[in-house]
Amino acid sequence: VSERLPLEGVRVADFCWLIAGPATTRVLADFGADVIKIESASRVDNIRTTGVQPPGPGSINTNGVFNDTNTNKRSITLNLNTPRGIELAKQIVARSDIVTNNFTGDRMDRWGLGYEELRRVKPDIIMLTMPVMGTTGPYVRYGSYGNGVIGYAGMRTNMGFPGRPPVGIQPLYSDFSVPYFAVSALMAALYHRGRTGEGQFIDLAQMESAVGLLGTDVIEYSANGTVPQPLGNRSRDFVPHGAYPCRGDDRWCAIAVETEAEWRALCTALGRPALADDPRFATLEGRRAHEDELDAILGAWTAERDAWEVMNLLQAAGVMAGVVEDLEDMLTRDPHLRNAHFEEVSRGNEVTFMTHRQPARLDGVSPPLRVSPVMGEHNEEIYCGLLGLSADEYAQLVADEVIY
Amino acid sequence: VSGLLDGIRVLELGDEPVLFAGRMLGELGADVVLVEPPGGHAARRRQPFLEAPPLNEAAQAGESLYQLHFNAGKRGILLDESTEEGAATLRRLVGGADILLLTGTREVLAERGLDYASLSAAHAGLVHVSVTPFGSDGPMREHRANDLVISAMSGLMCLNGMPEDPPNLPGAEQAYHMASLVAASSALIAIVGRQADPEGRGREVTVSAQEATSMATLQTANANHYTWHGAVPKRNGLGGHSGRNLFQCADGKWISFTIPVGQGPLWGNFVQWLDDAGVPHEFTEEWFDPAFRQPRQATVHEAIERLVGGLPRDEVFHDGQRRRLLTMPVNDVADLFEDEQLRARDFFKPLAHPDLGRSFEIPGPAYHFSAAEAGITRAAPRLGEHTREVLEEWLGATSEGVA
Repeated sequence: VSERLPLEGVRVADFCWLIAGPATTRVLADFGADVIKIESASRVDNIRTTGVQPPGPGSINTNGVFNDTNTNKRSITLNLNTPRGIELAKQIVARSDIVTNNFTGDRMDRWGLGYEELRRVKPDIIMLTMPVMGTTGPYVRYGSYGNGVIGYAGMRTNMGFPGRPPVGIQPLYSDFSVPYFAVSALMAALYHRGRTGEGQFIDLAQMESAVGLLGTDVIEYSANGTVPQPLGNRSRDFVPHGAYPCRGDDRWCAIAVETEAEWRALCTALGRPALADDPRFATLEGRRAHEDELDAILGAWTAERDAWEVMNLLQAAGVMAGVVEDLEDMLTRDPHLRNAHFEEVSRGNEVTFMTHRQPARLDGVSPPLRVSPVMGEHNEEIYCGLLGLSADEYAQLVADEVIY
Repeated sequence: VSGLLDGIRVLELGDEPVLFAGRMLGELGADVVLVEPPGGHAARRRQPFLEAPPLNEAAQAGESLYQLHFNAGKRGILLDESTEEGAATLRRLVGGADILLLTGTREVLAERGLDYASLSAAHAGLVHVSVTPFGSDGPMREHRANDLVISAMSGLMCLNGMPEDPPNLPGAEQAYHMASLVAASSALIAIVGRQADPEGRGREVTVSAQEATSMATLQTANANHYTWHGAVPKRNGLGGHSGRNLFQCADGKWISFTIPVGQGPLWGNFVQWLDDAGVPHEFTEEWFDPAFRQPRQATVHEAIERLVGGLPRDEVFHDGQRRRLLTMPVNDVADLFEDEQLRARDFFKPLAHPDLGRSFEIPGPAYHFSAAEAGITRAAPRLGEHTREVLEEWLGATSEGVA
């Protein structure tokens, strides 16, 4: 077992903002990389100001979503709209292994911080640019939040109940799935650099990553010529398969049956073993042909019970079942998630955040979480420490609103 | 051109939740070998199936497109783990692997001799990745779950759909995808850590699919909504993360339309668009203030309805983007094949089917590297197609005891 975190010694000059970019570099920071978040009062990261704030007067340093996407990072302020700011940015890049940004299109190039420029100051730099549309193509200047990315990528039309508006998956899904593609790309590039000494540029279009999550939809359309239609909560492989109403307001339990043994176990758990041999339901084909009737029988049984009771009864019988948990369930009723997955981090007496841990454990442990940085919290240690500026130079840059 | 992960060997032994992880590692250039039991991996029996009639005798009618998609880029071997020889061969293959991809709790893996403690003693460099629905330790470790049950229990499912409908299951098994994304990225984090470690030590990587999928709730249902305010976010239909987001255009297609959050020029761009399109509105100077707009959102939504209701979807998309208003189309798969951006970037890739004499289109890689080519370079394996080849390459000899 190694005591070191796996990415210790890796430094990241992080120009990311909003969500998808910072959620990427948070993974690197949590696993030991020194991630320097480069931000500015001249364009405050939108996620510092939108999201969820504690009761009372919140600030740009107390946002819950910002914290959840920026743990373990250091923050500096730097005004990139000044020539001196660009010089300082390059000095940080010269001391980094990775540069990340999720600005639209050619923003970094227009600052003079494009890949060709940066490889002059650090020949083996790895640069990731991850805008919605990528860095090439006719829509390169188009922008969007995650709620537009999922629709563009087909993740609204491939689900839901037939005939209903294409609301799709929850609005910012791509912001939390795409980052793991980005981390994988960066790790592959680091591994390659370790073997060859060669850095590189990585162009990641968030919407392409999201299309990559459509599963068989693309090959099915290509091979069979049909656009896959949404199935509600049903499945082509499992019957029954869905969320069934339980006692209480908006309470549901998901139930899925695949095998013959599971089907019989379900009927027994319902107290109706004879149902298993009912000619309508005795075969998978029969269950599929009479799925509405089957759902009605199952729904009548679940409706009289608490969702957790339904889950426990069915799991004990060997049937796949799980409560449709909401946030309150996740934090107070799920017997495992609150302790295994969530952790409180505080900044003194100012604020306490409830924070997701990394879902991966390395050698059985979660990496330690340090609260997200106050904007500019690490200015002095990075400008005077890492870059070696004198106290006078530093003070002048602050006065000139370069460090700003 | 060689891939970035050239030289990395991955042995994949898991169920559906790690199929996409193996596919991702293959796309990045790793040598991914899928180990299948007699009768084949469960993926071969998953829908959708190929409907086109086979063009020659070697092709199987009703072949699983699920298998063709998720196992693309991998080699496949057939191995009967229940025989003594098969188990011994498996152990030798693990000895040659950099990454082992598994599903199951520590306890279940230990029964097969595939737990980290058993394997790492002889192979300290191994990166051992196992995915479970609910972890190896918790009170639900023995609960059984498919994608639906994990989506439900992760908090993701309750956020999807119209309020009057049941919560909607995400399309295309997103819980499995999240588990695989976390598994693949964490495996590579461990590989990078191993490369930097003078002793070259691997790691045990464990991933709970429930936790992995819960990451997708981090904004919409951020935990602090509850801890600070007692609020419990639910599915909100046409709404986005700030105000109503979905609108239907003149041609019946849908547009995602985000009203600019900030003050200033973007609101002005919207009002200008209404004027240019001749759509009547009441937006005087005070409407430029977001605080004034906030309680009057319904009026804004009605104006958007009037605007987009008179225009075809693609015109709203492009005109809106030119006005910097973050309009985005709601596409289906057929739309994606017509999309000019994806075409210009050559996103969809042909994948030749080995027996049919035709190619299928598959999604391209999620990234472009300047120093290497990423992508799928071979079709999904036939059952046992590469058994002899892999044993020769990995073990240096043909081996007995393989099914």
